[in-house]
Amino acid sequence: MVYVTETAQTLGELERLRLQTRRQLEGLSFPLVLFGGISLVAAALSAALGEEAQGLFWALAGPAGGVAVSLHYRRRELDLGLSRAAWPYICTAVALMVGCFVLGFLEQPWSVGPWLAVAAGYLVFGGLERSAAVIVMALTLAALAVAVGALEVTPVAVILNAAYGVAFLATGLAARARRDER
Amino acid sequence: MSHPTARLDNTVHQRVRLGILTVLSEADRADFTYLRDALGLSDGNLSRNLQVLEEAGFVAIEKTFEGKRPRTWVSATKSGEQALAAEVAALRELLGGVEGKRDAKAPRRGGALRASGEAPA
Repeated sequence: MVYVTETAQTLGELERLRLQTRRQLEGLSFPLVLFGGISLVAAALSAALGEEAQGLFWALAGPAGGVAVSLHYRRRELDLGLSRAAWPYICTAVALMVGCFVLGFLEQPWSVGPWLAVAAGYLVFGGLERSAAVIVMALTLAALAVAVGALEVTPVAVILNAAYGVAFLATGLAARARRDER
Repeated sequence: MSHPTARLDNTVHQRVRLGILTVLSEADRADFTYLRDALGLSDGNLSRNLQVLEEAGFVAIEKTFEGKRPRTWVSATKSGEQALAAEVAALRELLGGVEGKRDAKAPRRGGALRASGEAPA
């Protein structure tokens, strides 16, 4: 019976270690907060200068944000001494950007295409991070984008940039608060 | 089918080595300092266990430099991940088997007993 108790303790300890490592690796709060802020700036630009201006803004801010996120992850990896494979994140980010670019040429009601690509990208990120909050956020934003497209609500860029910005910021800040609590 | 104890791997079965492989199964790689602190080990103890795992082909060790500072990164190999999965499965099976037998022996005590906490030595 001593052996049984030890085996149960060992399995419990391994599970604790596994969860602790997973928590240490959680890192979506920075990209969510960064892209939340960028989305809100894009919403303001769309409202002030029109939808074309936000397209140009995203063409510059999107890749720049991607570079900032990769630098952040690199620094974090060195500080923490722990890393996970980067290629699934890089592939998803590239697919997201290509999707946004290609779908950006579609007309109403499919002008919401780039936002669907972003939601799909974050759905994958949420799966990679095993984050239920990010998965729920991505599905909610996708549903909102489909509703905006189907109902032909305008101005699309202002509404969706603002909604995505608020959702990203709220989810990112909540994730950071949870991390700080631990 | 063989008894679960026959499937326990002596190299992996040691608690520290199980811990090392568990951390590395979640992360792509971890550095020496992270493993040492996460597992609460001394440098020497961790080094010895990493050497055993490396000789068995269960981990790969890479020494790099950050500026002038040396850094040791450790990652699990495919066979290391497989060995951990097999070990954990064997331990679970072992535990489940013993609990099943104890449940069968004491049906009037009302269901499954937990392995830890109540068992006399």
